Amino acid sequence: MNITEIKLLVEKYFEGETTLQEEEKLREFFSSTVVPAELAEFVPVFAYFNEEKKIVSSSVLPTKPAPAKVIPIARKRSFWLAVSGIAASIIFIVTIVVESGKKNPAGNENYIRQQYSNEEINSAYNQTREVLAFVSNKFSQGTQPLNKVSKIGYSEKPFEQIKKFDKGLSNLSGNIDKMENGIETMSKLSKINIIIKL
Amino acid sequence: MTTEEFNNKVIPVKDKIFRLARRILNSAEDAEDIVQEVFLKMWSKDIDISSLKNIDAFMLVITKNLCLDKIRWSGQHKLETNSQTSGINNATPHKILEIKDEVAGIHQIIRQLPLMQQMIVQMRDIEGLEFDEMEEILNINANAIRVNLSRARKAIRDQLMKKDAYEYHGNKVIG
Repeated sequence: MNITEIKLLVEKYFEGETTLQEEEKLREFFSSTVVPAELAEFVPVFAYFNEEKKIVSSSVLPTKPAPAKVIPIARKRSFWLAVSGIAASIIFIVTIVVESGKKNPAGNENYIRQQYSNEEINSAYNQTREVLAFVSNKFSQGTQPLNKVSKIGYSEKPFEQIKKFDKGLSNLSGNIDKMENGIETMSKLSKINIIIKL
Repeated sequence: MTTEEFNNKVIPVKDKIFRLARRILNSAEDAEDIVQEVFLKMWSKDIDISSLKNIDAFMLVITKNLCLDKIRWSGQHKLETNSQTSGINNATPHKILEIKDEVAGIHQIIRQLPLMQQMIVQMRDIEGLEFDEMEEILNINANAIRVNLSRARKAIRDQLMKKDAYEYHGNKVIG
């Protein structure tokens, strides 16, 4: 490759217009020993690129996903999860105990007496009574239709007659036994008759 | 995803990920962390490797996003200079020293560029990615990438020339 061609490529190179193949040519040219003085300033640039390309990572890579690595992390996590869970439940219980200690009934009533006048308390009491009476009234009205359900019990009675049928059956089988016995004795008697005739 | 698939398609992207992360974060240590994070993500069950068109680009998107997140959280880039220069052939010891100096200087020049330009230089001039791959990774169109690339390359050249002029001037004064 002659110098004019190289110079053209260098110009294209600085415009970002060269292809990878052309850049490879430049790389080869500038790492040779025949670079003329006028282009010598680019020698270290391409030397630098070549050197940078040789740098390699010294990392050791896992060839397979390492489950051994994952397990301790999971254990650690579940351990801290358990610890935080226990801590949270302790705080929860302590809070409930402390809060419920504060709200004793006497203190609660005193608080209400301070906050509200007697009239207010009485009217609230009456209103509550009215509401409860209304609810109980409606409730008893609602239960009346349910009485019909108890009639289901009446329908059971006719079925009791069937039990009598059972009794009759057992009587019948008893009578049949007796009849068989009677027949047997009668046959014996007939034998006696034959003997007498002889 | 099978282990075989992982070894053949995903593992080879490791160094590219490392270099991009190192470029953005300017720290080899942080870049190694990013490599680990990207690979952990790749192993997670919701990524189906076989359905991806371009695994490299997909992993570089994750890399870029993790790095940008890291920058956002930590505030600023760390300042770390790195000058590895081996394999410059056919040159005298004096010349090697000179080029070594200049190569380290280029690292510094690139560090001064806007982050987008740094990433573009990394992907194009170092990793040799096509523009359509870069579009996918950076989420900007090819034209914008070209403009940024051109600016970055010119900035590197201009800074180098400035440096040369300064050194020449300095020598003259001493001489």
